Amino acid sequence: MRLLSSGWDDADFSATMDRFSDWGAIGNEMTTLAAADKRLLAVQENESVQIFDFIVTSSPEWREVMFYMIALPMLVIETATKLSWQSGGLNILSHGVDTPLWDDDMVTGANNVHFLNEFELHVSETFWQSADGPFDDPANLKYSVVDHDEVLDGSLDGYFNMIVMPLHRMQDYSYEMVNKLVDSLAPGGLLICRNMAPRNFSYYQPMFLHAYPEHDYSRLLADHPDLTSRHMSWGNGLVVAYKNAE
Amino acid sequence: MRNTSTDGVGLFDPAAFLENRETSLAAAALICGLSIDDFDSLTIDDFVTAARQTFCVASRPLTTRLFGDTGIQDRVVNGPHLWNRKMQQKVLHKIRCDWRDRHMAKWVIDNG
Repeated sequence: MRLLSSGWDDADFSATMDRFSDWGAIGNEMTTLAAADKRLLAVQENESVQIFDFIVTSSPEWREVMFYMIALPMLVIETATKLSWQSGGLNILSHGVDTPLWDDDMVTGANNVHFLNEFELHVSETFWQSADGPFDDPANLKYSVVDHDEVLDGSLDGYFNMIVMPLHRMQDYSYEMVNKLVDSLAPGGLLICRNMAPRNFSYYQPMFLHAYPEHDYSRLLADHPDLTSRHMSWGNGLVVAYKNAE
Repeated sequence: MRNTSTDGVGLFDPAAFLENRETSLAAAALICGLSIDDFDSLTIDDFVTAARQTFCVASRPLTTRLFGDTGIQDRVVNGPHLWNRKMQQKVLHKIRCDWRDRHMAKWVIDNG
């Protein structure tokens, strides 16, 4: 892959994907040590399980595909976080998969980064604190962790200015959880969902052996009364949704 | 909400993670008619089998009402079967996600 920009170049691509591989290796080791059941019966086509295998065994071509999956949402998120919406920084909620996206905020505290309390966060924290981790002082990272129950009980309603969630994580949740995530956005807040069109099933409901919830979750966001949702179908799909004013 | 760690250990809380998933699994078990007095006595296979049987049984009154008990349901009930299959898939998907997460949470608790 060749990149030509002032902020991202070929070295950034390699560094990002090497970091992603290191993160995935830890997750892969943990799921292996835990003897996680990876039979088709137990996990079907569940990307939250398969992601560690994808990353660790990635070919150069697959690295480029994954970088593309990461880079486009990163561009949108980076642009959005540059906007000064409120003093004290933005309240951001992210899934727990490691990305370079929050590095500056976690070191400086410029924006208030929160992660959902999930296994991917455990993998990320283990990675951050390892010798291969990306931070010089991992003991003093500035972020917070939110439990699912805190989202579900409404105590965070209207709190976040931005939520970043990939489909492969969101589809693990119930509709109730997704709706409560929307409730936890402040008016004008952004919901950014990447990986929204894997297998191109966003626009119809296929009937195969296993569930492919892409369409259901895409429709949930597109039809949500509190959101103005923009679905970009290029690549493997990106949804940028705005929380409507009350 | 847990804020910045002061000891560098991390903020992931496997106990809260586990509790959330077991609550969700208990709801799924209720739908499938499983007793969840002891999660450890169940396997993912038990959940999958129960979910499939539950939704198979649930489809019978519907297909009978729509097409009569004429023995031809297997050929003509595409609509109800597809609907039933979709619901079964949704429930199974959630069960599998919760079961996987529960397994990993327990492993983290046991292994740190």
